[in-house]
Amino acid sequence: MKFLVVDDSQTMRRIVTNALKGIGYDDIIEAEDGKDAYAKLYIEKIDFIITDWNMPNMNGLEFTKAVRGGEEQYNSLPILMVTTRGMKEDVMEALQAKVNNYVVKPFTPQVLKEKIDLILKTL
Amino acid sequence: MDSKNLGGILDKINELRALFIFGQRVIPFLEELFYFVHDIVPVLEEINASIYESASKMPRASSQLSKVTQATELATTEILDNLDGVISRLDTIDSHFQTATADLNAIDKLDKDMLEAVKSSLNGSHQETLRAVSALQEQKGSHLKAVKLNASGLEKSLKEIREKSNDIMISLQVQDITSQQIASVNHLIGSVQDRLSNLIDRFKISGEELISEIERTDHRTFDPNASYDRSGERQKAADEVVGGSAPTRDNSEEAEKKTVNPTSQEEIDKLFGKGA
Repeated sequence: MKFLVVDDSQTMRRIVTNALKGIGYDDIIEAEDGKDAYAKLYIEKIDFIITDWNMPNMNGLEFTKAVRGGEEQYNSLPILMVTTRGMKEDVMEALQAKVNNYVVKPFTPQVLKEKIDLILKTL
Repeated sequence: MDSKNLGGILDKINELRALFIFGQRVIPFLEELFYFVHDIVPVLEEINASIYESASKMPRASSQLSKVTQATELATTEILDNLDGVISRLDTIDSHFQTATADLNAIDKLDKDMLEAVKSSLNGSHQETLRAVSALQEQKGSHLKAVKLNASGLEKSLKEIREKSNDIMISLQVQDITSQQIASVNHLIGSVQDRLSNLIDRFKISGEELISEIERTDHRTFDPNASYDRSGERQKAADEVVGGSAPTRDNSEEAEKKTVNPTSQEEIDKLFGKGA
């Protein structure tokens, strides 16, 4: 399963990547914003997206909307939002943009695994 | 000149008299006003200079804050490099450890098999020698048990080191969160400086140079409410909104409802101030 980790913070990309490796997922590529990630979607075959919200150029919400509004094959592509934004309104906005689940930073690998498993179970 | 004209002149004189009387009453007030303005000008100049000085320091403060973000990001990367090194070595130790444990178990089994083979081939003779060998075997067994006990402790310690390393990695998320907080403060400083610059422009003081603008090289977007909270309460709140289950992605209407609208429209409207 190939993961695409999208975050403008190099630190966060590394932490998410390490957490994924810790729970058994080794095939991971990274993107530093929504625009970069969207371009990579057309180059690589991605099975799962983990994206931050606050990013320059194209933020996570815009990226999610672009993915969902794009080609049909991406309608069912799992998207997990991992962000510092923890307000109820934020979560609702993300869900309306059709993310599959939502993780608030700081997170633990257990929470990440739980959400990934939950998403994969319901696909 | 008739009496009508004289009456007119007298009226004018009376008006002038009233004006003089009014002037006499107003002059002290005007004098006070003059002294007040005279006193307030240096104060205003001081305020202006202070605003100018504060505004001129803002670009530097903003730049320093950006440097803090860069420095913490660099330090965090170094810590992550070291942690990767530690975890990689832990993996190596773990692998060697598993091999050594398997080897020890294999040696133990071979010893037992060997003793059984000897017993079988001696067919009841050399009982005394066999007893001695069995005693030695028992001693060896108790040593092996002690080694296994120590190994178990070592394995537990390795697991704890791994958990602590993971904990450190998780704590490093603080760098992303604080950098967003700093970006928020920088944005605020930029806004205040813009306002102050406008003020200074409006009350231009001769001889003062224009304040350099804050260099906005940090185009990072940020969450002004970002906070480092490991209580899990924020995740719990998010889970409640998500509904505790991941939305499915099939095209059925029910799935769409679950995906897009996990809470009622009424609740959403209420949140956005459109309710009742």
